[in-house]
Amino acid sequence: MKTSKRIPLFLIVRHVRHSNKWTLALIVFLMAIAFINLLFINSLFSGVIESNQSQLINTRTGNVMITPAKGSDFIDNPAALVKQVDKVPGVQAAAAETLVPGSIEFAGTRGNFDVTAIDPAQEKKATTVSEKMVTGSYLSPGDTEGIILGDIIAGKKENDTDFAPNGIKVGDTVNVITDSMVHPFQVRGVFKTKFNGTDDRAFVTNQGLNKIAPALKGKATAAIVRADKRGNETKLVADMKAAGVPGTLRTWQQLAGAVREITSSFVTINALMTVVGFFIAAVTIFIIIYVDVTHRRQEVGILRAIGVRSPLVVMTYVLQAAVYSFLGVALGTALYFAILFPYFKAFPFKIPIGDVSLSIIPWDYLFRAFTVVAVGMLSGLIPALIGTRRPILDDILNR
Amino acid sequence: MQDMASEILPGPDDVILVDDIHKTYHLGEVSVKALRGLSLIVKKGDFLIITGRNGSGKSTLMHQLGLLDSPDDGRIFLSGKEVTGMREKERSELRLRDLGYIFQEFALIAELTALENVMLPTMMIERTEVCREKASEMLSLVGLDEQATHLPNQLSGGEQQKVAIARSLMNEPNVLFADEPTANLDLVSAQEVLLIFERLNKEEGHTIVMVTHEHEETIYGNRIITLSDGKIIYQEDHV
Repeated sequence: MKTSKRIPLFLIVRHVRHSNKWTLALIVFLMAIAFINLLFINSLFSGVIESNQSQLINTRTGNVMITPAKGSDFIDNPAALVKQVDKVPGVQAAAAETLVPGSIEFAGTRGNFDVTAIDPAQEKKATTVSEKMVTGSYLSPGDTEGIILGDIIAGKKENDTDFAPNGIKVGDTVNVITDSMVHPFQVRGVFKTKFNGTDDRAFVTNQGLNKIAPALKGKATAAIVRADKRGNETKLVADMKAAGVPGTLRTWQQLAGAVREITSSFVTINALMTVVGFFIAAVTIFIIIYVDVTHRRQEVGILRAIGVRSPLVVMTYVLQAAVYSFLGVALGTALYFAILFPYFKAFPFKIPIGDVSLSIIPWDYLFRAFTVVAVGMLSGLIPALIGTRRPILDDILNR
Repeated sequence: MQDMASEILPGPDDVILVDDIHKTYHLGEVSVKALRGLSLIVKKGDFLIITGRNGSGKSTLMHQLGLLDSPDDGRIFLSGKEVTGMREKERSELRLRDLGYIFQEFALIAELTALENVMLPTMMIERTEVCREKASEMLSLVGLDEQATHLPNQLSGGEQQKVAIARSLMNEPNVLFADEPTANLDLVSAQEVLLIFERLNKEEGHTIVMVTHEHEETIYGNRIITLSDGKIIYQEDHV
């Protein structure tokens, strides 16, 4: 290292070592708070988006959904299809579903709710609906009399539905009406996924379907496919097609619909909040560093008076600001991942569209960390530049 | 003291040559003429004392000589080089290598120990170990071996001023400027500091320019000038 270049490092190390520890701790803490604020807003919105997308995948579409090929109304031999799909690398589970258009009647009121027939054992592997039962139990394989209802159908006073204003309880009987035929089913349980596209569904077993629509035996209207991991859906579709899986294959993104709109709204809000967050963080960091460097005007003057060249003086304060910012980011990261992240994982925000915990994308984290350090350095640069352009005596005499 | 009327270029022994400098401060709408056509020569080995009442221009003159400020008019030569009109980079280099400046308020960096404060100017030039060794020698010279690891706030005013002196000597400057170095010191400390200057001048041959408003301190110099209203009104060679 060129001799003169050691001056900034020499001064920074001494400054950190000998300056008032409380002041240093306060500066670093404030930088950490500014960083956490920046991270938290983004994580929260990412969490909302993540929660929404996960609900769609986990409770409705899977990662990939197979529907009948063009020109067909049904998937024939769904059991064979599920077996075939299960063998494709990257597939965790598959389940066939048969949607029966119709309505449900309870206490003299009829609601237009379709009923879906499933194989409970397959469905348990492919969706998380079975884990979202709020009362009663999930369907048992071979149950020909039972039905489970989504929270929107079963209703509760807070849901304010016209269909079942007093709610439907486990053990109540509802009528499933198809083709003007009325079929009574006993409610085994009520599930609540907090995803409207799922909570307005009713499930019976394939054996139950045979009771109400015998013509649909051995047919399915869709098969949902869960992947080992999210993000490789396009490749999975290609692999399934290569493996000869028939039908129309679409990823959850292609099926997103309303979720896509919600996601895009949250992305927009997130972007706006991020800009505001960046501005607040930048101003906060700027004030902290600016006050610190301005406070040490005399030091700037002394360094110049003894012959330290201005660029080195500026570099000293810029690097010092970078050190503060880096320490702030490190402390902020520690607090975020050691306290906030696990806390909200354990106690997620319970909002109407789902349980939301914090989610951070590595690139977003790096970008914010970089921004904090960059703003910190800029905040050190400006007062240092001003300081080195003032007459030396003004700095030394603080005038 | 030489008359500057006809001489405008420095001779081989002239460490400082000041030729008809003017400096005016503007405080809002008020203009204060701090220096009015002042000229002087300081020769190698001189111990020049500048005295005068408050506002006479002695600190302003010192700031021009120490390259901490620039005159509005006139010329200054330091070590044979004209410094008026020099770019800041060159002035900085001169402050580093050719001048030592001692402030009334010590001007030490609070977060550096005595040794580190002294090392600082030489760190621009030498390796750290050389700087440390040399700084230790300078602290010994001013009698502060024991306080090398002390921070400025752990030192008395006299000790802080001695650290500032040691720092000013680090790069073996051609001339030392001391701006009222004893103004904030008690009598004993002031005496010690002045004896250091005397020794540096007489034994080490350092050229020293010192501002003071204490008349009794003038005995340490070999030349005295007294300023009033930005002009030299009295000059005397002791030795």
